[in-house]
Amino acid sequence: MFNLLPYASPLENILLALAFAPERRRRISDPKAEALRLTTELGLAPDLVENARATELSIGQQQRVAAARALIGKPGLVIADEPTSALDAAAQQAFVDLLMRQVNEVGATLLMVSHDRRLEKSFDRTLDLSQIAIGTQRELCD
Amino acid sequence: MRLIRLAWHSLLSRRLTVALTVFAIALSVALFLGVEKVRTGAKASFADTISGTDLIVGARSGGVQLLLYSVFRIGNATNNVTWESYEDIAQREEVEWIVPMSLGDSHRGFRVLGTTEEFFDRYKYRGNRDLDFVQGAVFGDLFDAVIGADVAAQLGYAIGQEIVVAHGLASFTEHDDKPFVVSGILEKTGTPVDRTVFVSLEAIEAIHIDWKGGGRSQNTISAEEVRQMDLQPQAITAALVGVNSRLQIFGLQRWVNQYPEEPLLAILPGVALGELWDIIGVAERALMGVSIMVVVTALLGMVAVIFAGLNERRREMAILRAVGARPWTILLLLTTEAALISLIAVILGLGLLYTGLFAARSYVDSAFGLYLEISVPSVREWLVLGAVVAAGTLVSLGPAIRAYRMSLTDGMQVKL
Repeated sequence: MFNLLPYASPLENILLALAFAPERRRRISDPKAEALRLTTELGLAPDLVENARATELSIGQQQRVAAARALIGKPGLVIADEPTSALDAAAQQAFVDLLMRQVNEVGATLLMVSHDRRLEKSFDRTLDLSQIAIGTQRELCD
Repeated sequence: MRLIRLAWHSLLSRRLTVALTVFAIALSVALFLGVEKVRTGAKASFADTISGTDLIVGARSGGVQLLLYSVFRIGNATNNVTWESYEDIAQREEVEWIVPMSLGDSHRGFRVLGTTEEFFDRYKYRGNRDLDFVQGAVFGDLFDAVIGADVAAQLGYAIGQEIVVAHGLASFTEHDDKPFVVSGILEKTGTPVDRTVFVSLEAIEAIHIDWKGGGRSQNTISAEEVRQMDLQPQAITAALVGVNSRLQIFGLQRWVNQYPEEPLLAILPGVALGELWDIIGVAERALMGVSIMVVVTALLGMVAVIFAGLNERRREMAILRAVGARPWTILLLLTTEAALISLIAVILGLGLLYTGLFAARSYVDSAFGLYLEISVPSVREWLVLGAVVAAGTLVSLGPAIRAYRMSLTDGMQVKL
């Protein structure tokens, strides 16, 4: 379960993000078309997105739906906590590339946490949290 | 709108428990409305026990008592009305018709009523319905008897059956020298008529002609001899009176009540029926109390189901919070769910009620003489239904507030 409502379709899960965020809702004219566009870009068949139940999706598919839910409505900042944890190495890179492309298109900042150093090269800035002494964190923020 | 859709989908995902809850509430609602129907039906049937009669006249006692013995055949008259008084009333110009009734004897537990043939034309029930004969007809001979539907059914009597009338109500002395023959069987009415054996007024006189005090006298008179005699009764128990114009009812009632020759009492059947219903209506209120309890129990069951579901739905709540739902949205979601459950239950309950009514109506009418009216729910019933939905929504505030608190402390993180 990747934090999707089990009883709703993937599409409804994605649109749910707009229900409580009027700002994001205002940025798009046709939420359903936008959701389907995003999921198609993320490699999910529209039929699956509209008609499947969230529980019927594989973990990878659920992750993509979750990503679409985060990206819909052109948010300024996307925070992802290990979004690739459930994927194998090849799929991980593909997913990050996909995410990057979408974030670029939307014009959002992506802040991502990962244990996988191989993903590092896709990002503009990286920080190794284990290398930072507690005291220096404040410096960094400044 | 989205909230309702969400609540709907959430309910669908738990359809088994939800369906059972809905069914429990629906049953309780149907039961409540059913009791309500039976209650009003019983009251209406009761009030319609006798209609078309403007006044009942008897010896002076209480109004309810007169009604009880003259119409319901319960208890006994304190005194009789002399034939002279009866004639005096009958000759009043307000009186359109008058039917004498003579009570006091019984047949195997059923009261025997001596009256005239006019009784069968004048006695109406349930909004001017006539007494109809299933078989046979009114008395053709002095010793003919007409029996009610219950008498026929319980004793297995048919036309031509010979019956013997017992003297008094619980006595071992019978008028076995003058047996009667069943000449007619009445249709089921749901009134005390069903439990009555009717004979002619003259027959009552005839079977008592050789009786003195409480026992048979020495010089007996045979059934054949009695036919030659004058069978004008000396007294009757009560009389049903119809007046020419409704406006004259009170005038005649006052006249009868002030009748100087003998203490008499005239009552309006409707008023006395109302008084009597006030006395026996306690059972009706108890029945309603019980069905209210059933509704409350069902609603509590729903609250229990929602409470039980809260824990397994913590993740759902957390996801909603994560996509931006505020804690009060969670609260609203749960109350919306409860409102939906109650609403569906109420609609289903109505459906159950009407199916039940359609199925059981004719049986109830013929078996208990209870006429259940099938009509659009009354304002009162709509109010009850609305109250069930409102109560369901209200009691769900309990679990909803708990979910609200949980979603505040859990936030987006689910600690399971």
